[in-house]
Amino acid sequence: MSLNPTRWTEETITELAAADDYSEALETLTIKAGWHDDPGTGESLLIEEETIGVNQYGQLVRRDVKEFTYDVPGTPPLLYSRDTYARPYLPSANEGRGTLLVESERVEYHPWTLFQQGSPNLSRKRLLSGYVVYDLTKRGTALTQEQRDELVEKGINPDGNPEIIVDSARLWSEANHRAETVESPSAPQLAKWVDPVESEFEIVFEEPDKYTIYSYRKNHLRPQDMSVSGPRHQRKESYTYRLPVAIEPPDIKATVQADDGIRLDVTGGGATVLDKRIQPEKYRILRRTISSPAPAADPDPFELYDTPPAATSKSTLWTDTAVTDLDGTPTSPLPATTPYTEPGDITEPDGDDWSVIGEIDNEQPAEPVGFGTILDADVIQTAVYEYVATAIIGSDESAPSSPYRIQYGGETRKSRITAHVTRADDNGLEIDVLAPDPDLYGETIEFEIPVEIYEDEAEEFGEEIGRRHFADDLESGLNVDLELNVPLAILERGQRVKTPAIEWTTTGNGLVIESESDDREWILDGFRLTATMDKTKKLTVEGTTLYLTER
Amino acid sequence: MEFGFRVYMNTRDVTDWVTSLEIEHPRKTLYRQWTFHFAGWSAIEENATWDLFGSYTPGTDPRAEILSRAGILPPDRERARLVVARGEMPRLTIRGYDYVWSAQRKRPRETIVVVPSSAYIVEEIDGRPVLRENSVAGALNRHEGPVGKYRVWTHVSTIATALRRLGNAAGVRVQCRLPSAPMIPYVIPPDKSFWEAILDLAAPWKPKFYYRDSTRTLVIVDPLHSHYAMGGPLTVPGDAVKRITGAPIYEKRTRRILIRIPPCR
Repeated sequence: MSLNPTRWTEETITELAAADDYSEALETLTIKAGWHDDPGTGESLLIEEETIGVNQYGQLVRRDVKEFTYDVPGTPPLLYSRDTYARPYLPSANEGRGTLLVESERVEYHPWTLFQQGSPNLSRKRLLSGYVVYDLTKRGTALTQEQRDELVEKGINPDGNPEIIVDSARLWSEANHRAETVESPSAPQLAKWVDPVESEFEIVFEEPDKYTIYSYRKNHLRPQDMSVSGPRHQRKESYTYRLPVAIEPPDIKATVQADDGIRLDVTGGGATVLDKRIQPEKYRILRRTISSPAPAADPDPFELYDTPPAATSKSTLWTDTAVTDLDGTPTSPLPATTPYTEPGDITEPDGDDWSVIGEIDNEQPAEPVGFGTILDADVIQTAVYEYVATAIIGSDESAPSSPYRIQYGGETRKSRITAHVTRADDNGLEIDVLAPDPDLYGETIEFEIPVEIYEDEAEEFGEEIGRRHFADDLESGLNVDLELNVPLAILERGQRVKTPAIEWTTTGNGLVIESESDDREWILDGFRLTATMDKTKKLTVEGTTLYLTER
Repeated sequence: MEFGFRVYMNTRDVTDWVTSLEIEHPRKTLYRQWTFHFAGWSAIEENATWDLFGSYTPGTDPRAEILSRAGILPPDRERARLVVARGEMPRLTIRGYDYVWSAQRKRPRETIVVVPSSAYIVEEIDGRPVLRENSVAGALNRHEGPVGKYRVWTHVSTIATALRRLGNAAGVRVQCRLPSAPMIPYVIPPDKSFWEAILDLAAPWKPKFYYRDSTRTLVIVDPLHSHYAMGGPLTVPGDAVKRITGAPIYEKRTRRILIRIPPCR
């Protein structure tokens, strides 16, 4: 996860006259730095730095290695480390002046990630370790020389073991700077690696409204050298975090309500932040019209009739296949078929645009799954709609849900036979059956049916009767008389009759019309057969006429 | 195409007397009607039945195709017309009907009471018969209008049974394809023919009818289902068609149906 250097720079400073802490003059100072160039942010982050000081004799005096550890670019460092290598004289540890790790510093940073109660956000911990020089005791004794020899023979040091003077502890650089090390193996001094020499903590507790900060600093060499400060409180500035958390879209389901419109049920949606579920406050519902029906033909647009005729039959008997005038140039057949729109037509044109039909509150804000419902009443029969919903939290809005497509007009009052049952005074039943579209013109017929029907079956019975009447009435059809020049005797009513396409070519009014009969199946409704006695005293059939019907 | 007619009156071949002939099956009816132009009055017998046959090829049986069987003349003979002129052959124009037409005739003036089981339900209580229910009285009580003499048809438990009994009374078989509906006691008034009674009972289902002449069967068809006769479609050759006349079907549109169902008991 940590970043690695991608680019190195090196700087060398020569003829450096400044004296170093180590009483040796540096000749050259070389600084090598490793950088991470982030392609996304364009920043250059210092990852590694190595400082090397060399004296006039070409010997290494000091080498510092610093490292910054980053988690991801754009954030503060997580860890800083510094290791110092040098070649001072350290009693009993580095008497040959070799290059040695003498000091090490570690700083851990805890950058702010997200608010979390009791987390070490923004805390800091610094530890310094290194070599410490101690002075040793040298005790005098009252032994004679013989006694001393005796003890030496027994392998016991007659002077006793030297003891560390705790009070004399100082860091190696301190001792070196003050020239307090005696470069002799017999000198009563000792150097020890102490971990840590110094420690420093800054502990931050984050609460919703403030930070509480405690600072500790302790020098482990001198017990009295310790400072504690805190708690210090730092109030947060009022600032609204924009949570970088996506809101999940809800689910939408549409159902056709028989009388009123399309009911939309929205469920789910919301966000999860730090294991906490945040329910949407509102849902927004959008609609798009996929297709809407063409305006129906009004049988009586000018309201001329009390009982207007039914809509004109759409059945055709023939089709014009070609129309030309007598010179052979094709003319347009009349009447022209130009689509037009009625002036009072309120049917909306089809469009692809989404429009908001409403914002509804989440009715179950405390439940694990949110829910909201709305009725879309502004719908047209047999139109097809598509709905989506989004979840809203504050000023944030989720992506739209997957669309739900539905057709209005499948099971509605206007497209369904309804039967209403009442109990009459004489304990009989009365069933009021209404056609699918009762606003249409039509008549009321009455029946008295001597059947045994219970009240719970009456509604179904009424629909059964109504289906047979209304289904037939709403269809349009043709009655056709087909005159044939052949005798057809074996005919029976109810027979199916097919006429293949019959072509005519006729002329009239300066036009030549080629037409073709409609190829379909008819039902024989009746027929007529005529014959007359001819001069040979025989009955001769003149022809047959078939009475055909479409239904 | 040659087609030879034969006309029989009471099994007597009277084809030679016929000068012209027309057979028609009108729309929305069951029967075939025919119109003869007869040469001479003396050829007609009272209460004769008429058979019309034909054949396509002269050499074969002249009665190969049945056009109308057991046809009748209407009792009132209102359409019969005789023209007798000096020096001319007397001419008679007469119109007759197929046998099924008799279903539409007026029937004897008597009321029919239809009951689902036996007319009287009698139970024995303590060894003595006790009348539990009188279906006939119940039906007559509900009926409005004159009754007079009445006849009771028992064990008519469904509408289909009632239709079949009415058809049988008129002389035709009945095949009912309507949904089954249990019937309650019902009165058929005396002023309605069998055909009108059949129409009254079946009208709520808006059935379609056709008459199968070969088996003398009146078929009552549910309009929601196929109402075609048997066999495949008859394909009319295009050369044979002289003229086509078309007109849209106009029917009154029904908007609302009020159904009254009388109480069962």
